[in-house]
Amino acid sequence: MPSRLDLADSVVPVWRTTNRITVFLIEHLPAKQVWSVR
Amino acid sequence: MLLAAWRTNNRVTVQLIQGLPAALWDVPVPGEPRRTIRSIAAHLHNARCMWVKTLGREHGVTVPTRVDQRRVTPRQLVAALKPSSNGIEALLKLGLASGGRVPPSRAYVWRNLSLDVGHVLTYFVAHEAHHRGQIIMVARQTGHRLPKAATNGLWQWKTAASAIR
Repeated sequence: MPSRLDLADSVVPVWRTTNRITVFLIEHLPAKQVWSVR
Repeated sequence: MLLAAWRTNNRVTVQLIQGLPAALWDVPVPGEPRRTIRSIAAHLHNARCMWVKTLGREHGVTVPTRVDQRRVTPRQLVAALKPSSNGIEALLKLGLASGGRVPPSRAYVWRNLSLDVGHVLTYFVAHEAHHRGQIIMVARQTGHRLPKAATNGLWQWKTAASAIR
């Protein structure tokens, strides 16, 4: 059974990666063309 | 825990495919008429096959058989998703048995993915969620309201995980 520290070491960086990818996408969406598209 | 999370993801994917009305299967993606809901659904399985082949074959993981994205039926795809889920699970087990990282392989040349098991799992889950969302979006855009059988399980992650234990 992994220790609490092991889990934090492995899971928190993974979360940071998914957050970075989300932020990257939002930052690079063309505002005029995409942001208000219905 | 990691294997259970993958199994839950697989279950959610399978439930979506099982719940899709047959009439939706050949609906083209707006703006991309060569792609259909069938081809997106088939890609879920074929992408698993590709990753198992790339990361696992040279370490002894059995590579599942791909499906034909233009001909596969929902029933055939659901059947195929079982061995491909097992293949992904074998990759994760390989990583867990190797100090938490899937070992390097010569076939892996794209190198877009960190091979610690947490990133590998999350990447595969994110990939499937992305395409499940595409299927739902295409259905809505083309005027098809999905039945509850298809949508009810999408966010029932606790229930799915509990049912596996």
